[in-house]
Amino acid sequence: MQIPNRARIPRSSWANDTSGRTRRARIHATVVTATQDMLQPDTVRRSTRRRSGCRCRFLLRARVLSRIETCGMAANNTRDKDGEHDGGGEDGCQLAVGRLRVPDDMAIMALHDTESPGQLRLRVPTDPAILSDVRRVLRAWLQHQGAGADDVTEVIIAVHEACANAIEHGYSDAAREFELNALAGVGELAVTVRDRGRWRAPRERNRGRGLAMIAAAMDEVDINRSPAGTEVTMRRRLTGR
Amino acid sequence: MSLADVQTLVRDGILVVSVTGEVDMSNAENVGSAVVAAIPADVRGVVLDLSRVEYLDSAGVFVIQGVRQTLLARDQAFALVAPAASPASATLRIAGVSRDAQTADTVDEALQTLDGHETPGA
Repeated sequence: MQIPNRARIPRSSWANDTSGRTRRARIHATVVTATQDMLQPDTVRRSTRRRSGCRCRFLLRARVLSRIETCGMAANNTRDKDGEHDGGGEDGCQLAVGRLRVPDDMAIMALHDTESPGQLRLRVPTDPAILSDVRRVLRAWLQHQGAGADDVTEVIIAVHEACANAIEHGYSDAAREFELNALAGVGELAVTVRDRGRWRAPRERNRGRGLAMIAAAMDEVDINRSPAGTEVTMRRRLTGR
Repeated sequence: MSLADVQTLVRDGILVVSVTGEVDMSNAENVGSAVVAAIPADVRGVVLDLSRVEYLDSAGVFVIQGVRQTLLARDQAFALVAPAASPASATLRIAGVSRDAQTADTVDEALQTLDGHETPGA
């Protein structure tokens, strides 16, 4: 699969998945933990088989593990009597996360579509403490895509800096989460980090450094700032090393 | 649970500060404060060992540069340990921080570098 040009990537396949009803009917929500071993291919396959038709999966912090299965069931139970989820996959995921009643339910929500394994979609709270988990999830996913050690290291550095900026943008606003979308093609990778906060000029020298690091680690960077938020799209040809 | 830990030991009048774990925007300022607080005013130099840092981000680089500046202003010598294949080294390279004479692969090498350092009144 080649990564299409920016203009040819349908938005629906990236983040704001507003899939039609035909697709909706096949979407179920299942919740699993974000522990590293759950991200290994074997475990992912096993958990996929556990409930046929599984399409979505959450990756949550291990400490809310006890609640997770309950939430998964809750999401599945929202299907109407025709077996059709009334809100689509992402709404189902939102619903399940919304039902987490732990006080610090800081969770990365990951939509993992088993029909497009080369795609990773995360919703991340704008809290610096989550960044370590984001790196872990991204590392596991990149390794699963067959990326080499240098690719993994440098992509994580770039994506982390983009996420750090997204969190900074979110500080001043009510934006409570941002999106991370990654798409792996043959020898290529594209990652978009999109926030809904207000773009801010780097407050100190440090944040300017973050953008420079993104540019240094990736082959191509597009920054799109608008009143609605900031979108950073990064591309890199994978070296396999 | 803390993301990073700071430990110190003194070798030949040089303070070796070892940082372990992950240093990012969530804890970089605290790590920097812990490092500076661990440095006595009378030590003639500091080796900041990043070889066991699992992740370093731009906020961490900023803090390291701050520690370096603080020490230089106090006429204390400074050396960084960041082995070529370490995560910290990858970040420093991408951040454009050049591997100068004050960057070493091992603590021993860094100590040797500082042995040639003249301190005021030494």
